[in-house]
Amino acid sequence: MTANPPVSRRVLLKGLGVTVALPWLESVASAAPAAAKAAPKRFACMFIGDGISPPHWWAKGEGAQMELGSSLEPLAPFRDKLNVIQGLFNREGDGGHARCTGNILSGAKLERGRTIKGGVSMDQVLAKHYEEETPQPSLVLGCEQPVSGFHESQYSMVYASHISWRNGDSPVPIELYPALAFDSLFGGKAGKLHGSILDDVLEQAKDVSGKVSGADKQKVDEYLASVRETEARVQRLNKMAKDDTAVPADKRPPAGQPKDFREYSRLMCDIIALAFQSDRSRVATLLMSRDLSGMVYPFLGVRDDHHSYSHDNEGKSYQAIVKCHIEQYAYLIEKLSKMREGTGTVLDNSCLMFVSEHWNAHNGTRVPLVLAGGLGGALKTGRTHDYLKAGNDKRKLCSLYLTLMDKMGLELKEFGDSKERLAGI
Amino acid sequence: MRLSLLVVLCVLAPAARAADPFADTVKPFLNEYCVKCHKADKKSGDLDLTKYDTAAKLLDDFRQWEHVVTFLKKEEMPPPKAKQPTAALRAEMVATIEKVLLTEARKVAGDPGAVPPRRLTNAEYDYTIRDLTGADIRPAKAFPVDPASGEGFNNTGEALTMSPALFKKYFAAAEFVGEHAVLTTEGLRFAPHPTVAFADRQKFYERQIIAFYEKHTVDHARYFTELWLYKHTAQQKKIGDLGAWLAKSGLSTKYAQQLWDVLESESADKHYVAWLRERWAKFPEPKDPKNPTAAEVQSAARALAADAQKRGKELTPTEARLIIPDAGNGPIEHLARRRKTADTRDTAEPAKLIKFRAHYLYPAVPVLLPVERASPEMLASANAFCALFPNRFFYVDDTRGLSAGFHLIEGFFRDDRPLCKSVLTDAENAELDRLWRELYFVTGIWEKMLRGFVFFERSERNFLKHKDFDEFKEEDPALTNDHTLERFQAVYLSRANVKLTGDQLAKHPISVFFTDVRNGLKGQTAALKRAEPVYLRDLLALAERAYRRPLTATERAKLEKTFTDICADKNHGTEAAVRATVTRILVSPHFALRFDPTPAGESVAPLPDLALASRLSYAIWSGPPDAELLKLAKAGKLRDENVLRAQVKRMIADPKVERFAREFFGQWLGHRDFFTQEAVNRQAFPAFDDALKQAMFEEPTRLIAYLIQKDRPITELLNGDGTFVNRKLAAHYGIPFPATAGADEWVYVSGLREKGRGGVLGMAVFLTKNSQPQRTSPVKRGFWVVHKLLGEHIPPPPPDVAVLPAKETDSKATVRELLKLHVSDAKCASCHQRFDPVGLAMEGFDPIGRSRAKDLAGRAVDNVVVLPNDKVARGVPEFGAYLAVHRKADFTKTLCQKFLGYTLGRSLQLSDQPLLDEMRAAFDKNDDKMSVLFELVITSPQFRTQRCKDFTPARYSPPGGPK
Repeated sequence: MTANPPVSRRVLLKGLGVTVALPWLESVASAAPAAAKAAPKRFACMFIGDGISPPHWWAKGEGAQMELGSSLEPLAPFRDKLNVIQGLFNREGDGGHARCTGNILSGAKLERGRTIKGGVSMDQVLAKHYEEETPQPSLVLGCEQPVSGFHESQYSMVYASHISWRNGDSPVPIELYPALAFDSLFGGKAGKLHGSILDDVLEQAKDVSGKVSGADKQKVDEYLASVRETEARVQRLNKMAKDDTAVPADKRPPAGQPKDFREYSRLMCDIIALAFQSDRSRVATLLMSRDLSGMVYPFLGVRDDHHSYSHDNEGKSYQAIVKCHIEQYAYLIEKLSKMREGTGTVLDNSCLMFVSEHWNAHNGTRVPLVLAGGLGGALKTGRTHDYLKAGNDKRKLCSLYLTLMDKMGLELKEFGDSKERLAGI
Repeated sequence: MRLSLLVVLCVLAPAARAADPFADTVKPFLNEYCVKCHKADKKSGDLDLTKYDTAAKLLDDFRQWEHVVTFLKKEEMPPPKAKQPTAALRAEMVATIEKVLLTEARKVAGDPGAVPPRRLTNAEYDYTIRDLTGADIRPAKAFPVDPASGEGFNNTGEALTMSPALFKKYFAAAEFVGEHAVLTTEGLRFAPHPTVAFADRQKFYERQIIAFYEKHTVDHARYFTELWLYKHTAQQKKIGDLGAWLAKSGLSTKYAQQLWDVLESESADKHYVAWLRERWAKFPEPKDPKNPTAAEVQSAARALAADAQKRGKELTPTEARLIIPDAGNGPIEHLARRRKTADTRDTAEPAKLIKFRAHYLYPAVPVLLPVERASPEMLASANAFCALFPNRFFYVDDTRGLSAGFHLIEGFFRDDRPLCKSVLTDAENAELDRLWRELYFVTGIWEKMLRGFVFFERSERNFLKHKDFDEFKEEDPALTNDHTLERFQAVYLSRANVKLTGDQLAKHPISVFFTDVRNGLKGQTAALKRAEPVYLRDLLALAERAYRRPLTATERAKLEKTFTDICADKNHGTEAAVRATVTRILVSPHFALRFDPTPAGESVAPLPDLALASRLSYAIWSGPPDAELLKLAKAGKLRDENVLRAQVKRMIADPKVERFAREFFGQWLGHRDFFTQEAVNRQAFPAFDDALKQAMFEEPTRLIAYLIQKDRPITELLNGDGTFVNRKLAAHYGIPFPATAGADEWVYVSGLREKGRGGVLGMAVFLTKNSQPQRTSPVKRGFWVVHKLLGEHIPPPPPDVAVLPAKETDSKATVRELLKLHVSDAKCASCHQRFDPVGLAMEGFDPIGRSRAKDLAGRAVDNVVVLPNDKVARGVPEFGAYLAVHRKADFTKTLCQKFLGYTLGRSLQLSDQPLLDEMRAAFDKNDDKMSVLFELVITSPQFRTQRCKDFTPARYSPPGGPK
């Protein structure tokens, strides 16, 4: 297994079918003058499968004095932007592969056997919340091909491959192609398909309009105007994708999937950054590697696949893999920290979460998790937290999600297995 | 044609121009008594009576003038302080205005009115998608709520607007429907769930296959029982063959016949078959030879079934482990083992043959002995036995379903040989084969399995880590090319040290695996190629049904071109082309808008047949015309009044009339939004759960649909004695529910009046909807009856009214006592006396519609009310009886108005008055049947014609002349 999942047409279609829905439709809200609004808040989650290397995963102290374990070293320049949170608890997350990844963002109990049943993930809850605010409710990206067989625990591997779930029954299909993810934001190929549909509908509506008069015409023209307005937006977006002077201009990644993991994940991070900067989407997840990952990292000097090393998760090879993932996270943090927005940066208005389903391989009761960014001041940064001894009810992962959603303006009574907020965040 | 003929034949000479009663009588009266307050610069009650200078002007504001009449009649106007007309003058004036209105109405009777192009309502959208796709997808859930207007319905054209924001949702909905498309080998289908993700594609067919297996599970005890009954009954009555005997049993004739032949034929068998016959022969004789019953043979049948199954397991090869989810399990070996198991489920293994000898103490108990060397006769007997008693007929894993059962790799394994061979008919086999073929096809399982195999063999089993395999990569698109696989197969065989040739090589599991994969992939490609033109055909048919008319040549050509272009585009391909085309059809104005091109002219013209078909189907089914309607319309036959009547009959007998019951009555009576709006305090009423809520919501729709379909008086809604309940609702009502009925079944029950219920007044949904969270509200309940059901116009309450306590337990007085305040205060009384007593008659039901003798504070409930005729009525049954007699005219009038507004999809006009009168009369004369209203309205000129482009009332003359 290498870092490059297969280029199957089916995968491509998955991308087309769902994640690219209506990328070109701007909303009424986003058309309002930017100055009138507070900077939007964004959320992104970057996921590494198969856990982390515990001896190298720690942090203590506050602000500039924060000390970081070697896995987290790449985050050193951003100490004051971090919340390193230890000891979180995912009640339904214990019990080996496939039983935890599918609920890392939902806390839901997963069903064994052939029936797929989990819960809606918090990124999709947020996406729904922002649905009307941005053209693309969420980006669901991945660097590793999903699988769907059965794990020996009788849980479907569908759980191991998906962290974003639009409902309990089905995961959001993952976009594996950087170029298509880009198009979903800025038009391009998928937009062209939409464009041709709209051109045609517009023509039909014009034709109908020409055949009626008086009050009837008024009604038909309502339809015509609606199509026309939509079509004009597609045109604009398609132009934007081509146009040298427009923001993303030359930024459309090359077609296909990069062979090198680092290049792959950075392209995906670039797209998230672009989406956040241009406010085309406020929610993103990136599955860098799935649970039971088959990725290989030849550039790290290791030959076997990701999961094989995870059983020896204190070894050098595994530490190298984890650190490499953290470097990708640091890359996105840095990227957003350089994007000015109001008096701060896009990072200051975002929350970037790094998480794995396991603490060390096969132990899901202790979730490794780091947050970066301040959600426009709502989230204090430069801190470390340890909840391990707080008692299971006081260290729930879903409580953290409730807190984060609160800070993003979405107050829910309960989420997953939690009805309360996480103290101290 | 027929209409215009009528016009020609029946135009009457207009009556001689008499004096103008409006100018002569009404105008002077208005000037004398009314305009002081109702004039342009002082519009009391928002009414300016000076603007009406001719009778024709009354047309536009006829509702207003109806109110004028009502106020005059009730002597509410002129107000007491103002100058009063004499009683005679008042009466004359009422009569004159009514006459003027009627005269004006008759001049334009039958005018179809302005029916603007309109988009589908949300409900129509969902029903239409269901009718087009056969799947209940409900994409309109995401749309904003439709506004209601006209006579209070949201299918009124004027109010249905389109906006860019809504169009965005339409586009998303169209794509969502496209995501439900299933591309089968036989054409386009739709699933009830999206089929984009692999797991969703899989479950669509896997569920169907498992359901098929469950339906055809062999229950041996039942076969023995039925055969025994057949044996003993057949002799008596000389009934027909076994097939006829089993027709209703749901058992397989094919299997039963084989079993019968073995049990009843006489062969020299001394072994397993003989044992079976011996046991069969020992089945008891029927106690009453004339009437053998299943019960008396049940234990013998069960015992033999169990023993025979056990014996079958003993004789057949031991089942290999079918699910081996560990990382060391080689997929090729695993499949080979499963094949072996699947192929030998119904054959005896010579080494396992056993002989039995009777126990010397208990001769009935056989003692089993292994047989060293079996005779050919013994083996033949064992095989004949195993064919009937295989170790399994099919295998479905409890947790993994149809999965092949190895670790991490996706794949299916079909294991059902005995079922196909011995139980299923040819047609059933063909159906099962079809389901399996589609499961493989829609999941693209061969490619999926191959890629999974490469990943697993490399990453988990390390076999492919050898450099010889470097060119075979999971992610390589070329992996599925046949020449790549040919090389892969050769390398694999060589690394596995297989040195066979010829037939032996071909039979080796590795060869079998690769051959299967290669054939599977070739089959997949070929099937897709074959299916592409079929998809196009299905899409064109979909477009035709979606547009509710044949496609034009240009439309057809365009759809074809777009589809084939996207298919050929490497970025997209067939599946994207199908989904995009579905989207394209559903965002078309021809789908989303209902509109009928307007003909030239100044009068009216018959609606073209196709437009009539749509108007008809949306009026009755809230959905598109079905094949029969379209066929008649295309043939130009729908305009024939007899054909139209026959179609109306057919349509209201169709189960889809349930949509009319929900949409029309649900909006009129106001329970359609019961589901989305809830005011019940669930803590105070824990009995009110989602299941009860659902049942309450469904009850009126089920009853009304039944009344319509059975053509029973719709006035049973006022005083009927029966309704539909499920187990939940029956318990809620405290009425017995048949023990034989299923938990979710709905049954018709009568005897409601005895229980204090009957009609809509006793229905939980209305009682609950018109209550406060923690107390009943006779005010809301009474108002609902008087306003909704009887159509009384009641002004809103003044802003400074006292508020009743929130809970019944919060007050020392009963609600009834508190309501007396309404009567003592004149300001309240004028309205409240019209509905408070009505609500008090319903006090025998608590806030969620349960019968009660005491209120929530434990005080006795009094539901006796004095009726306007000074009689008293106790509770709903007696009050309902009063309504059905004394207020029936009001109910009928309201029903007719609402019905006409809904079916025409517009506000009513004065010109509809003659039709309304006709409807009321016909309804009364024909036992209050809804079918009468359907027929009258649908054959009316309003329904069957449309206004021409330059319609002017003056150029219009009613069909049959002014009435």
